[in-house]
Amino acid sequence: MGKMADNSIIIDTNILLYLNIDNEEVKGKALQKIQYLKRDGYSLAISEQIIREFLVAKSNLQKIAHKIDFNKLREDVQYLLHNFSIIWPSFKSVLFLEELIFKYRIQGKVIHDANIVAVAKENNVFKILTNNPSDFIFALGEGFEIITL
Amino acid sequence: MITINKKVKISKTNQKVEFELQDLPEGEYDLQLLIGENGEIVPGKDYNLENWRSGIKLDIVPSFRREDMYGEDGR
Repeated sequence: MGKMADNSIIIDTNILLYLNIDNEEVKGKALQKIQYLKRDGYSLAISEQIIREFLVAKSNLQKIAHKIDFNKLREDVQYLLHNFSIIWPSFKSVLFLEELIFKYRIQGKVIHDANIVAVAKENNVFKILTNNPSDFIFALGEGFEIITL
Repeated sequence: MITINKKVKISKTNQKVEFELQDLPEGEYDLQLLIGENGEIVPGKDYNLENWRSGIKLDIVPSFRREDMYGEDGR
């Protein structure tokens, strides 16, 4: 396993997008939760997959708004690197993913969620903050705590 | 915002800088030293999440589930 601290928590892609989108109600709620977690001593972590998903979703949103801004995307990466620890996939995390798929009969797009769990487990992180807790139901069986806004 | 002022000299024989941080509360800190091409200190950017803005205003905010974000081809 990796060596993240016991008090580490994965911040899911949807929470990052809520932190970034200019909707005061949603941003405020996400920001408050993040501040509470930091106050309680949690170390905030994201995986490489979460950074990638954030950039895909964000650039798609920019495209819809007809204003793709590559400087903003570049700045976003800096915000992520400055505020979150990064965890990485590995050979072992692929084996965990294989185990999860078989054990919980996971299929289709849920495998993307399962990979978040596999990489988190490999890095010794067992908490996930997400706005879509039902997507991680299977992770409860692996000792994960799923926290929502 | 915490500012630490310390004059440091970097040479081939002195490339280690130490700070006394014992008065700070326990926690995680980011230390950043930005040096310009001519050796000048470059002011750092504030990466506080409170100031993180997209410029995209959405009245209805998607759930951003992976079920919706990914295609059937896995991408």
